Order: sequence, then C-alpha cells, then structure tokens
Amino acid sequence: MKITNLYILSLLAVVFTSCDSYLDIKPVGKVIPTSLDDYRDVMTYAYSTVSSDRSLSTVRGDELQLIYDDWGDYIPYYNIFIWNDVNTDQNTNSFSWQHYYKAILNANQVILSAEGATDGTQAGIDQLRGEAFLMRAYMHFGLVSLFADTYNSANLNKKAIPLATTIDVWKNYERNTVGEVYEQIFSDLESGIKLLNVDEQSKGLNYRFSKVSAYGFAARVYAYVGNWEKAHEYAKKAYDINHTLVDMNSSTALLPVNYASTENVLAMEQTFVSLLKSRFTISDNLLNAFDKENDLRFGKYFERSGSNYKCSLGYKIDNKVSMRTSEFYLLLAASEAQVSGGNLETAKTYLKELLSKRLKAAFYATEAASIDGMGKDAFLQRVQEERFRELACQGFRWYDLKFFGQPSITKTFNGESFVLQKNDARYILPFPVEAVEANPNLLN
Amino acid sequence: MRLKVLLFLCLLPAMLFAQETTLIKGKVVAADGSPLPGASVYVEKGTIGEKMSIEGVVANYSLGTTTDINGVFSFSVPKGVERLTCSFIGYEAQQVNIKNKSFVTVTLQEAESTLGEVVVTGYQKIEKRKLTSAVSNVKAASILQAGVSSVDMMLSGQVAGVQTTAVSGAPGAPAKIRIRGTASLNGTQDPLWVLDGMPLEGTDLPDMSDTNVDELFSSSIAGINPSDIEDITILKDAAATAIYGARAANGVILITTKKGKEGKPLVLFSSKLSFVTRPNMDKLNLMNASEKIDMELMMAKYDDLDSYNYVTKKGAIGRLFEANNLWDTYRGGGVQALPQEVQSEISRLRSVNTNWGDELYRTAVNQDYSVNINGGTERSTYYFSAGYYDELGATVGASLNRLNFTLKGDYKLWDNFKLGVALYSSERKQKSYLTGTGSVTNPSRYSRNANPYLSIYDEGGNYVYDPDVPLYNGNTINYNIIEERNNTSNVLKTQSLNAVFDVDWKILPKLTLRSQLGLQRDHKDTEQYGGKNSYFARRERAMSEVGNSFFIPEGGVIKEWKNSFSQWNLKTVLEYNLSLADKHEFDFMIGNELRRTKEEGVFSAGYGFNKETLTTETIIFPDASYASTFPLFRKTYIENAFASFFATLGYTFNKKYTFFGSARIDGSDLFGVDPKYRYLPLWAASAAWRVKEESFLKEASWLNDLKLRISYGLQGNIDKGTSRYIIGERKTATLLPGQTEATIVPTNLPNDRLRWEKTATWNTGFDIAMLDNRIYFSADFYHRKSTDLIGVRTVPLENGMSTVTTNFAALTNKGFELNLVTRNIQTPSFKWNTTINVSKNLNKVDEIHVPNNQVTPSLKGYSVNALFAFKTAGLDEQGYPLFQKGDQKVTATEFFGLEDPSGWGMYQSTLTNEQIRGLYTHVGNTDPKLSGGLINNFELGRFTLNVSCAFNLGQWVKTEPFYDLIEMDRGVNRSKKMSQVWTPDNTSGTYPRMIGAYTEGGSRMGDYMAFNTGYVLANNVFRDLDIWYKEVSYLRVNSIRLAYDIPKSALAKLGIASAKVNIESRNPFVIATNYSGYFDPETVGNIYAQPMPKSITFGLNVSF
Repeated sequence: MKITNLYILSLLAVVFTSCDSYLDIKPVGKVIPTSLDDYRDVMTYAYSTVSSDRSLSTVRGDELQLIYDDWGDYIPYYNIFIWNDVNTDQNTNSFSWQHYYKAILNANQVILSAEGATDGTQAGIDQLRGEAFLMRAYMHFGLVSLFADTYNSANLNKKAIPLATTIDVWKNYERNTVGEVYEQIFSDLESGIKLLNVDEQSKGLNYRFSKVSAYGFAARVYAYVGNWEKAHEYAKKAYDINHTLVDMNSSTALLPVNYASTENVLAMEQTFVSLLKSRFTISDNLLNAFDKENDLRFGKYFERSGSNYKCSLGYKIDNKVSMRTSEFYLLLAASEAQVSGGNLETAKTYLKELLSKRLKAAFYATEAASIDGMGKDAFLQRVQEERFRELACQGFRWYDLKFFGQPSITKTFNGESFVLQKNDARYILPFPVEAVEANPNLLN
Repeated sequence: MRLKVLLFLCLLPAMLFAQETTLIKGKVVAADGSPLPGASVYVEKGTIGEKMSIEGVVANYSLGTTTDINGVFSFSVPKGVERLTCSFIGYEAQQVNIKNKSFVTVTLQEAESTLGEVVVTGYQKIEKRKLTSAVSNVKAASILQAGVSSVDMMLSGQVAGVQTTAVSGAPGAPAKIRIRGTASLNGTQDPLWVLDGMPLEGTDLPDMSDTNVDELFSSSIAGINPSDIEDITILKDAAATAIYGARAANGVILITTKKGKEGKPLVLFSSKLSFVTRPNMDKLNLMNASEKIDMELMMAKYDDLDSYNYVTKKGAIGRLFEANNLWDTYRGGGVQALPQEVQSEISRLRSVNTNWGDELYRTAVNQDYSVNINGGTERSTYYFSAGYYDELGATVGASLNRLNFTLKGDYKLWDNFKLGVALYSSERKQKSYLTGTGSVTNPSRYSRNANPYLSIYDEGGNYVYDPDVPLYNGNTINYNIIEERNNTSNVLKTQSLNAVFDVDWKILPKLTLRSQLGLQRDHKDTEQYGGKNSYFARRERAMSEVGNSFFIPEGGVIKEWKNSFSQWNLKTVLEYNLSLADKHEFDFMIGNELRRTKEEGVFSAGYGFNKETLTTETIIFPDASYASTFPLFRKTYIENAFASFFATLGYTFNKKYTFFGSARIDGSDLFGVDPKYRYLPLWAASAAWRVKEESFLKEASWLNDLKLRISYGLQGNIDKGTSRYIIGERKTATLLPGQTEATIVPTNLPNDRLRWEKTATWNTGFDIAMLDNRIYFSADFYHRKSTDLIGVRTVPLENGMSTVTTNFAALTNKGFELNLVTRNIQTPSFKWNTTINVSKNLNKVDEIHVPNNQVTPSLKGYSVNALFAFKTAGLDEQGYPLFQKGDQKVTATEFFGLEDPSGWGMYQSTLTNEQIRGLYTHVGNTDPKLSGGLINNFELGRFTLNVSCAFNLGQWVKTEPFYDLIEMDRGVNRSKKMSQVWTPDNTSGTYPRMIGAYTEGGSRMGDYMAFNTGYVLANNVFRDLDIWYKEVSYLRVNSIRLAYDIPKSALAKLGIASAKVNIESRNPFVIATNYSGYFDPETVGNIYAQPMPKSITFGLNVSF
C-alpha cells in the first residue's frame, strides 16, 4: 500500500498547488505593456502608422499636374485632382481616417498608462508621454485641417471631427466643434511641451518628437490659426535650439529633406510618395514661381523628364520629412512682422538669412536689396511666396492654401478646365466612406 | 419462515441427491465465436420447483453455475429439466433445449438495444437504467467498413443527430461531423473526441472548402486503428456533456478500445484486400475536342466578346487567329475563308481527344491487415495489436499508409487496487499531389479544365505544355500535369504516441478513487517539393521578378512544416455510492482535472534546391518587403493550461425515478482577462422516469421497457483574445533607413463588458422496448439556445481599430432524433434486423450584427447556413437575364439601380448597401431537411449480409457556374451544357448570353457593369443568380457486406478456432437528385474535391 499512499500524496500536492499560478502562462510574443521599454515600443508603432495624407493632399493643391494616359493610371488621382468628391470612381485614392485614430489610440495608451511604467526614469517617462501628447495633437490637427472648417470666431461652433482622448469601445463618437477640437490641440501641445526633455533627436531617431519639433509644430499650428504671438514665441524657441541651414551653394550638401540632413528635425511622414512622382509632373504654377537659373532649390527639388519636370523630393524612406529648420525662419519672419512690438527689420533678417543659403550669391544680393525695400504687406506677401518655394512638394501647400486665404485655383486636365472658387466649400474634404459606414454619427 | 428457509438450505443437497440427476456440459460463446468466461448458466426457478414439488420455498432459489475461462461449464441438473438459461452481462439471455443432450453450445447475442448495462461517460460509469441524458452507443464491430482508414467516416448514417460528411475522397481525408447542428458562429463546430477517457487535441478540422482541400491534414483520431475499437458512445445533450466543460459544446464522441479478456491467449487476425475503381469521368459531362473547337469558333464570331483582357487570345482558336491575324477573315467568311493550313490544323485538333481522366485517375489495390492477441488471468489481462493499412487513392499520386501498435495491460495489484496501462502508437504517411497558390494544377480541377485537344507528349516524346494555364504577370509558365506529377511531391508524415494510465482504488466498499493520466504526443512533418522541371518551382521563380531579373534562383523548391504537439491531462475523481433501504440510491462524484498543452511549429523553405546534394542557394532579396513574400523560416509556440473542478450527484428512488445533476468550473490561462472571467461555471440537471416499473405497467408482458427522460443544461465559452487591457503583439518596423525597431502592435480593443457565451439546452426523450425486445424505439427532442455569442463586430474607426470582439449574436437549434431497431424475422435459420435513424435540425439566427458595408443579407431569422440568391425571371429577347422585382421583370441595370450620370460609362448604383442586401431572396439552407441512416442485417445459416446506407434530404448547394458571363476564359474546357447558352444564333438557349461592354452596340452597358464584380457592385452577381442553386437529396449505400462463417469442423485440423470470409462493396451506388456535373452529391459545388472511392474488398478473419 506504500505506493498508493505515495501516489495519493503527490496527487494532492498537485491539486492544491495554487491554480492561479498554474494558469499563468504568458503567450510568446504577446504582451500587456508595463515597462517603459514596452511603452516606447507602443509609441514606435504609433509613429510607424502615421499616414502619408500630406502627400495625397498635394494632389488637391496647385503644385502638380496630373498626367493623362490611355491605361487609366490617372484614375486613382483624377477626382482628387479636380476636387470632385461626389460619385467618385471606386478606385479613387482615399484620405485616411483610421490611421490618424490608430496613432491616437496608441498615444492615448501611453498618455493614460505610461505614468506607472516600471523600469524607467521619470525623465524617460516624461519624454515618452510628452511625445504621445504631441502625437495626439498632430493627429487631431491633421484631421481637423483636412475635414473641417478653419479656426476663426465664426466657425468655433461648427461641427468638426470627433475627438478621441479616452480608450472606450462603448463610447458614442460624435463630432466635436471646431472650437473644442482646437482647444484640445492647444492643451495637448502645452501638456506635451511641459513634459518633453530631449532638445533634439539624433539622426535615425528623429522621427520622434523632441523639444525643437514640438515648438516648431506649435508655432505652425498657432500660425495657421492666426495667433501670431504664440507662433512667434514657439518659433523662436525652436530656432534657438536649431537654426542650422544647408548651404545649397555647396554641391555636396545632402538634400535638405533627407532624414540625416541638419535641417530635418522631424522625419516622421512620407510627404511625397513614389506614386506621385510617376503620375504627376510639376505644375506650371510652381515651375514659374522659381527663377530657374538662380534659385538653387530648383535644381535640387526638380528633375527634367522629357519636356516637363518631376519632383526629386520624398518618394523613399530616406526622405521622410515633417519639419525642417527653414520653416522656423519663415514662421519667424511672418510672425515677427505681425506681432505687436515686432520689428520688420528683424523679420527681414530671418528671411534673408534663409535666402542666402538658397540663392546664387549675385541673385541673392539683388533679392536682399528688394526685400530691404519692402513695406510690411509686401514683405508678408513675399514670405508667403517663399513658403511656396521653400516648402514645395513637402505636404504644406494644401494647408497653406486653406488657412491662408482659400484662393481660387484653376486646373486643366485632358483639355478640360476645372475651377476651385475662392472660399469654395471643397476646401473641406468629405469624410471617407468607410468612416461614415462605421460611424453614421458623422453624418450629423 | 426463517427457520423454514434454513431447513431447506440444509436439506437442499440431500434433496438434490435424492433426485435423479444428469450431467450437462456445454460452452458459451459470443457471436464471433470467442468464449465467454463467467457467464451464468442456470435452471430457472419455476422449473425446479415444479420438479421438486416443494411449494412456496423454492421460488427463491435456482440452480446453476458459471462458465470457466474457456467458456465451458458442466453441472448436474435434475432429470427431466429440459431447458437451461444462459446469461452474461452485455448479452441477451438465451434459453437452450437440453433434452437428450449432454453437450450444448450456446451463442449469446450482444444486447445492443436493451436498457440494461452501463454507459461509460469518460468520467464515470452510469448504469443504463439510471441514464437521464441523450446518449447513443454503437459497437465498433457493427460499423467497421473495409477500405475506411479512420473511425470518423464510419459514423456516417449510424447515429441519429450525428451528421457525417466527407470533405473529399482523398485517402485519409477527415470527415466533417456535426452533432445537433451549429452552436457557434465563429468558434469550432467540431465535437470533442475522447480516447479511453483522455480528451484528444488536434481533432478540429481546418476549413476544407474549395482549394483548402489540397492541404494535407491529419486529425489525431486518424491514428487510431478502427479494429482496436470496442465501442463508440456519443454524448449529445448538455446533461451528458456538461461534465466535459466548455470544450464539449459541440457534443462528445467517446472511443473505448478493446481490452484483454481473462483466458488463454486468443489470436485474431484479419486481412482485407480492396480494389478501387477509377471514377467515371462521364459524370462531369465535359465537351470532347470537336465540341470544344466548335465552342471557340462560335465565340470567335462575336467581336463584342473581344476584350483588352488576354482571354480573347486564349484557347487554340484564339491563338491561331491571333498569330495569323485571322479574326476579320473568319468573321467575314467563316471557316471556309481560313487558309488551308489553318483549316487542317483545326481538323487535327478535333481528332486529338486526350482523356484526362485516364491520365489523372487510376484503379488501385488497397491492403489492410491487423492482428491482436489478448488473454490473461484473474490478476492481469493484456491486449496487444498491430495493424498495417495501405490505401492508394483513385487520384494518381494520392495515398495513405498507417502502421499501428497498441499495448494494453490491466493489473489487479491488490484486491481493491487496479492499475491500467495503455500505449497507442501510430505512424502515418499521407501523400498527395502538389498544387500551388490558387490550385490551378489541382487534378480534379485540371481534369475539368484541360482542353481535350491538348496532347501530353509531342511526336518526339517531349512534354507538351499547356498554353492555357492562367498567366502570371502576363507570362505563361510551362505546365504539363504528367511532368508535374513526376517532379513534385507532397507528403505528410505523422507520428503519434498516446499513453493512458489508470488507477482504481476502492478505499472503502462504497468509496472509490480513480485517477487517470493521459499523455498525447503528435509530430507532424509536411514536406512539399517541386523539382526544377515543375510548374510549382517555375511559378515561385516567376513571382520573384523585379525589373527583368529574378531573385529566386533556378532549381527546385522545398518547403517543410514541422509541428509537434503534446499534452498531459490528469484527472482524479472520488466516487461514493450509497443505497438506503433498497429504495434510495445515491451516486456522488467529485473530481478535478488539470491539463496543459504545448504546440510548436517550424517552417522552413529552400530555393534552388538540389535533390541529389540536398543543398539550396542563397537568396538576395532586393529589399525587406520581398522577404515577407518568400519566408524562409518561421517559428510558432503556443502553450495553454487548464484547471477544472467538477461534481455530480445522482439519486434514484425506488428504481423508478432518477435525478442527476452535474456542475463544473473550467479555468484556463486567459491572458489579460479579468480574473472574474477566468473560471467558467457550467451545470446541468436531468431526470428520468422508468414508467415500466410502475405497478400499472409492471405486468404488461408486451412492454419490455419504457423510460422518459428530461434534461436541461447550461454551457459556456469565453473568448481568449479579449481583455480589459490592450494586448499587444511584439513586432518590428523600419521607420528610418538602417534601423529596425521593436514595436508593440495592439491586437484588441479592451472590452470591459464582455460576457460569457451561453448555450442552454433542453432535451426530452423516451425509450421503449416492446414484444420481447423485438421493437426498440427511442426519440429525443431538443432545443438549444445560444446567446451572447462572441464574435467580431465593426466599431467606429475613431476607436483606432475597426473591430472589437464582443457578444453580438444569438442562435437557436431545435430538432428531433428518432431511432428504431426492429427484429423483423427471428428464426433459428434466418434472422433479419433493421435499424433506422432519422434526425432533423432547425437552425435559426436570432440576433446578429450587420456591418454597414456588408452587401449580403443579414442572417437574422434564417439558418447560419442559409443561401441567398438573386431571383431571375428568364431571359429577354436579347438573351440578357431578367430579374424578378416584385411582380415585375426587370433588367440588371434596373434591378441594381445603375446609372451613368456622366455618360462616359462611369456607372454608379443609386442603391445603398442596405437596399442591395434587400435584393436577395432566401433560397434554402445547406443543412439537410432530414438526414439519417438505414441499416439492414440478414443472417441465413452461416451467411450474414449487412447493407448500410446514409441519406440526406433537401439540402441546398450553390454550384459553380459552368461558364462566365463576361470575359469568359476560352482556354479551359467546359460542360456540354454550353449548348444551352443563349447566343444570337441560338436564341432558344436558356442560360444568359455571354456579354461584352459593347454587346448590342453598347446599349446594354449597364447590364455588363452589373456583372463586372468589384466595378460598381461588390457582389458577384453572376454566381449569385438563383439558377446555380440546387436542392440535393441523396441516399448513399455506404457498404454492402456478405460474410460466411466457415464451419469449425473444416478448421479444426488447422488449429483454427474460427474463420470468416467476407466480401464488401464500398460506396457501390448513390441515389440522388441534382448532382449532374459532379462526381458525388456530397461534393457538389466543389470542383477541387477528389471523387469518393468505390471499392470491392475481400476479407478474411481468423482466430486461433
């Protein structure tokens, strides 16, 4: 009977071993984030899902000319190009919706839970949460600027896009007003900036937000909403951290949109995807904005293709660019000229400093002289023109058009003319079909 | 009174001696001739009393003995006693006449349909009289079929409520089994298999529809040799399955294997030789070469069918015309106008007529041998068996062989302590043809598609490549099916080892502790090889084209999947039985079960593989994105743990009323799940009433038994993928050049409102036995309601994900099962028994979520397996299909609300998705209206004849259209039904005409657009036309078997105890409606499935 006793004993031992620990199996590859490193990986995923909508928005602006072909390769871009949003062909490219909210979901997870992360320094946690706030602001801003009215007193109570600041699958998502969305963006910007403690990310990690890119983004948003005081304040802070410019007079200089360029402070988005390169040529409008001989950017930005030009920026992973130091100069030039107590001469200095690195020396001299002679309005007009050139084909134009005056645009395609009127309702994009299908509240 | 008895007992021997006695000897054997040790042989009490003339007392006593280990008995009976009764547990008692005999042989029949005995539930043994739930039991011997490798297929038509369907006729192909319909929308619908008490893993079938049929799959039950099986018990209602926990929601099938019996070693040997016939290609109704040429010439006439697509240029005629620029010549002047050499080429093609069926199918010989030895003493018994099975499929290249060893021993270590050890091992090898993505080279499909005018070899004996196989990137890849068969292989090897250790310790007379440790280990290894000269390898390489070069080297391709699975399962139960005052019986059980499973998989692939040197070549990928298209190595690992506690209580009053209750708590390793959901409670309650025991029926001699049963149970399930936290998967991403960074990708949205998935089942039934057990009938009615079913539903994209796993559906299954066993004729020389079972299941979806972008109808109010179609109303005068909209006949353009606002042919539908869903009409369900089986057994002298059939009535299927309406591929062969397609020259055709965008001068472009799937409508309108839906009913004769029991006298000299020869015809014929164009009614609609094998088997069973 000894054996049986032994058997029973061992059996009881198994039975009474705590079942909960017996059932604790961690599936390989699956994880519930707990450590700071885990949350960093969550945030890295958020960065990797950011859409290339700024690239697609270029099609809607006036920088490109769609190429007609018999094969119908133009079809995915045709309706976007001519601002047709009703009864579009099924193959039409669509602006993203889910990508924004996917990044927001992951940012929210970091914002809501990373405070208690294990194995991390407070500085590390703060930096990560700061990035998450910036990501949430960047995504909400991306949505509101495409799919809603601009920020001004008349529009504050108009319906915009739903805000996502919690993780709750049972939430009834409804559209928030323009005012509410921007308040959230401003608040996330401020919260994020308070937490960030890395001045500038090293090359290769510069897809992440840092103080310099956070200030830069804040300056961009405030400029778009017309708050020049804030725009100036943040542009200056960004400028103080990094204001190196690539001298285009040097033939060996890296393309400034290259992630490793000293100018590239946020290499997060693909702002000009490769398909745009094959389907579009540069519009006459943009070509004519340049002095082809003396503006060094012309040769760097564009390449000849038959009788036309194509864009050399973007289209590969090396050329991800969301923010460059040159934008700080442009923002400072515009805001310095407009803020109370601002100095027009200082403003001009910023613009000239930028141009000295962009134009051939002799041409620069004449341009600088003409700038020196400008009044405020003429100068501000010149800054806008310079934005058109400096930030060409980097995903800025559609937003600049929308926030700075919503002018009328005329395009031709295959012999037909299309017009976007001044302040045309089509400056607001309709919600993507799949977004409305998944949430009919968007119709209200 | 007591004194009287005492006196009687003391005096009894003397009284017997006082009587004149005679010695009677005999032997008790089972139907198969094996001796039955321990059987009772006695003189019935009335007889003795009569002889002894002692009134009143003797009624309590009878005279008898039991048989020894050889089944032999001998004892003295009073002279004049004419009859003896023999009985043995599990067998029907029988009376024998001993008048003027000194030796009798009594053959006892197994008691299949009476209500005695015990039922094994895997956790406990319940006496049948106390059974309260819906349980069916079949003896393996009665369902064994020659040429069937595994037990699942043998259940076809055997048990009411169990629907068994072959997914394919391939050797070793698993059968799809559904017990009482579908209870889940997303989860597994396969039953749980239990081998001698151990629940098996690896029995869930993968999706085997369409092209998946080509994947080799081996269920873990396929490793069990059917001839090792004693019987099979099927638990159907919740009262029976609740004890098995959440896994048992789809029913439980228990396999009990044979054990050693006390006695001297008994050797049983059986051998079977089967001849498989070649399938009849005529069933496919395909065109011959001349007809196919005519069809291509007919299509070439119509320029409106030309398209930019390559399809125009396919087929021999298309190629000839394209190469010689003859389209206009032909359209102007017909065949006569063609150049002479083209005309003679056309006539040559007409005469080729390759019979692809002859090339791809074969006749084959299959073998099946098994031997088992068993025996033992009172202290220990043993059972050893070995089996070898070898099957060649009717499809060339498809085969299965299996080698089995089983070893079982039962030891009585002490009087109250028993130990059982069982080892089951098997090795299987399944071979099949190799097909790549899309299965264009699947032989079943290719034998339909290959053109009859295509030759296999040219005059020089070289392979002729089929120019009509689908193109890749606009290029043809050399393909010849014979070359392919010779240069490719696809083999799955499975090794499995199962072990079960049982301990049975009677601590006290009424208290028993039983414990079982089960181990399962399966190792599967699939190897796919395509040699340098194969389409398979050529295609892989073609897919690697970048610019004008290929990064996959030339040469062979080898892919290997190695999977190992292991589990251990330890369960321990404590049982206590108590009976009070002979009226109250209590059966109490409590126990726990621990289980842990591990699964590990490795995939590897090699390119430029050389079979001789076993070397591969290195691939240099142009960039990382290509590496994922051609994975070279992948590893997976899954581990799970389960802990469960359970208890049952049975109470029987006065042998008439039984109440039974069971409860179980299932715990498992739900990662990240709220702890309150970790343990799932399940319970069931049931009752039975033995009406026969009531005084008003006790005396009714016509009625042998009558029992009523009722049960209710609650089962549940919880989804493993849902958590209140966000769970992520570790992945990597490259955000900027040169750096691969770790990411965590969320896989779920946290859901804090997730509830248990619940299934509540009612079952009520009765069992009745009448007229000396000559009629046995049982009926069960059930209602199974599943609520809060867990599934994936769409959520607003603002959540950051598009779907969430949540409770979102409900469905009901209800139905009945009838089982009738009759002994029609029962004379000593001729016996005829019939078993009929019939079942019906109605399935209804009560609640379901329909995403806004869904374009097919909601299943709400219909069966899970409902089919919907667009109702047509014949053709218009231009041959276009008309649709029935209300009482109007409308064109496709009108039906789907198509408009062309721009006038450029950019059609839009004015209908919303909801309106499009509403255009469908419910046609029927893929579930049969009625299904069941019919089994007849005849015994005439030494001959027995068994005929078993299965039927399915009123089952709807969606068939594959035999042609395409737009851009039909002319390069493949078609059904002869093409002659019924409407063309401008054949306006009596009943099938819609083939159309191009500019047919009828472009005036019907809207109709064309409606059929152009994915352009305006996401629906495949042509395939969804009601003309493709068929109602199939069939009765399949699974097996006819004739056996002859060779007289013992002829065998005695050879030292053979018994021998039986038999001949069996498997799948001899099927009576069915509406399966024209397919081999079998089971596979209507699936053009990839291999035909069901038909075979004739010669078998021999010998015992020593």
